[in-house]
Amino acid sequence: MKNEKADKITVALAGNPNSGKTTLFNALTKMRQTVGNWPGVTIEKKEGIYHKNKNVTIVDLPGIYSLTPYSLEEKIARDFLMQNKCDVIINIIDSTNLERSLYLTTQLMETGIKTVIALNMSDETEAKGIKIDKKRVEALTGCKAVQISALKNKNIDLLLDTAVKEAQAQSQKDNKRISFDNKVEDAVQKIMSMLNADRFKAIKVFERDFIYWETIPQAKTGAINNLIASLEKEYNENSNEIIVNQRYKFLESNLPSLLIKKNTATKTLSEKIDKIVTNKYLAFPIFAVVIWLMYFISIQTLGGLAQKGMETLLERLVEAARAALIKNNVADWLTGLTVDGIITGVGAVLTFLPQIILLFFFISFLEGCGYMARVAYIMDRLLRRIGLSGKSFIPMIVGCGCSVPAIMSARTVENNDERRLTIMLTPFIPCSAKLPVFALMVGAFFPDNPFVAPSMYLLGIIMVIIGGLILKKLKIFKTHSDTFMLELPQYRLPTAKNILLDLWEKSKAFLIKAGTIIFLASIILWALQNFNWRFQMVEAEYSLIATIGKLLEPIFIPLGFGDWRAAVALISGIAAKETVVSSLSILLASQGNLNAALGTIFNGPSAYAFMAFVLLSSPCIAALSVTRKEMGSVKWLLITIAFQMLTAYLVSFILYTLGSLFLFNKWIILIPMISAAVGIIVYAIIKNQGRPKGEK
Amino acid sequence: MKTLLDLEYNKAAVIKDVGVKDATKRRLLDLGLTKGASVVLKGKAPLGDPILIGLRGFDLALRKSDAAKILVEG
Repeated sequence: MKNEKADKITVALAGNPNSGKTTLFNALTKMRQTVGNWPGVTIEKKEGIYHKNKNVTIVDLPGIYSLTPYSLEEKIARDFLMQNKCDVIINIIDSTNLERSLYLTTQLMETGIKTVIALNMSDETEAKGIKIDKKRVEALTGCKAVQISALKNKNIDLLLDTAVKEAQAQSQKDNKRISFDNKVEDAVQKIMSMLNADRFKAIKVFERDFIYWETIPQAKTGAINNLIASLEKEYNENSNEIIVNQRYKFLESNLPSLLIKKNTATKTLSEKIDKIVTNKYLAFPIFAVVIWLMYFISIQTLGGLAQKGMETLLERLVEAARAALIKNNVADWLTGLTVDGIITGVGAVLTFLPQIILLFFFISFLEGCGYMARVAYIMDRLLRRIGLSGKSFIPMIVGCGCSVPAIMSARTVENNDERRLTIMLTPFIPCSAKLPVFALMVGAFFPDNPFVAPSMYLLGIIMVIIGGLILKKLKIFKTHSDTFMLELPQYRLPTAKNILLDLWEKSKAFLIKAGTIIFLASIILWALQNFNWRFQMVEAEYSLIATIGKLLEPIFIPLGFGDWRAAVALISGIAAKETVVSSLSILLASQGNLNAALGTIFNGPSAYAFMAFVLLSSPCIAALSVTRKEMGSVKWLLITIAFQMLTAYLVSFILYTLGSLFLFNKWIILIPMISAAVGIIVYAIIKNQGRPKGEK
Repeated sequence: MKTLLDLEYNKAAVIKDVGVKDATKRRLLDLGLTKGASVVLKGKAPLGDPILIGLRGFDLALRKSDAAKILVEG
């Protein structure tokens, strides 16, 4: 081993989903990767440097239950471990879930990669009256073990020192291995000598793991197959089951000796909470109230009050800046650019910061407490109707924050068609960037209605279901999985520190976006609004942007906002959805008070239709590029955009038409009739889909 | 023979056979749903499906269609 190479050490964090790998990673690297309390938060490999020694690289991996992957993100973790890219593995064990965690350890033991065990959440187990005997764990696994609490920063430096020492040790330590029944052991030994393979590979071949099976020379497959088949017959189990059973039997017989005190079974707090939030009658009302509170408090009450203050502040700032610039004889165009372009555009978005912080607070709490997995559980039956599973709902809640991580987290959906469908539908759930648009419109047209803002979320969910049904009818997606298996984690009260750090991180990202994308977009928009295509400064009516906007104007007449400024605002939303707000502010700046100016373009129904269009139309460029990447082809990206645009247009049209009927013609009677008709059609489709297979 | 669906709430039973196939079976085995493991029925989702079982100290949600293929005793 060369010296310079010997200095650098790569430590991989491996363990079950939701065992605290990312919490440990953040503590070791002082980075801030997203953490949450549900299985499958981490869907990518993340690298960081140990903050106390820059020669140590820490790699955070998605959670795995075994070394045979089940979904995309698990494959990432397995591949990394199997390609020997790390010097040492820190195997994180959820101490409250010792048996299943050690099941993965029994497999890591066979890989020959140096491993150190981190007994995480040791404080939680102790509170429950369970103590794990560290020495016995070490004796059983042959790996050094350290009791830590990643959340409370307990013993994590000791853990890393132990891992580094292990990596630097010259001798290749022969890890302890669990031994199987004699017959199985014989078979494994035979495969080892037939293939000249190590024990790990021989066991994988025995289990008929596809990846390893493929590497066997053709001439030997027959003999090995016969060997395995004879044992399968004898055990009356498939070979994979034989191995898994024996691993668990090994753990079952050794587990009692690892625990010093055993707890007595009592009803846990989690069970009590679950009795209520997954109750037959209460589950859906509780979910509805949670979502309603989240949007009502963020957009209206608290958030609305704070935003009013910010707005007044911005108006004063605009006046003061204009006065100061005029007083100093700054050129007209520069004053215009600074005040009517940059300050108005960026400021318009910044005034919504309080509302966005509140929304982030609710999301952060929801993600951290463990409720997400429950929502997936109660939603599964509904989502199955449209060819999805409850797991698809997790990206949709992540999507309340931002569509980019939401689209990526669809990786935890195992079936490929289901994953694509989830990616197409997830942007219907309003992301935090759409919140300023809703807040602007609600503030201007429905200030006293507590249901308009939350109704956007409801509309999002309804369109997920209707959109899913339509795509199912169109038979774009051929397969769907018939299973849903999800671990429901224990509830945890998110720590104040974690929530605050999360809020800081997300607010910072929002401010950076305001200072870069929205700043640039404001300048461009101001320029396009003040020049014609010969670069002469002109009135807005004759500007470059008006020419483009007026071309598009007719498209939006049926939706009630056939105005070039609304069209331009929607197009600018491609950069970032907040830009819709800054564009409207810039384009209407000459008309004084923004709320009053909005009244010249929109009325109640068209404002609502506009909100719906922003909600359902294709997300921003960042989300679209992730869609392209996760879908794997441009073709799928185009299908997605076409689907989203068409949906947005149709729904906005229907809402505007219904709203106008209600407002102007008082033909109120039509609304329940049409809703009933739509309801009956949707019900008929659902009913039809619900039939068992084989029935026509 | 009884399946996971026939369980009464909070009465322990022992897994006798995991009758599901392929990847689903592998995943259930990896989660510890093996022959001889002790399980209890802990709840049902509001629409009756999926169900929630307690297994090796944690809670696992799975669909009725899979649960119906898992035989238990006790």
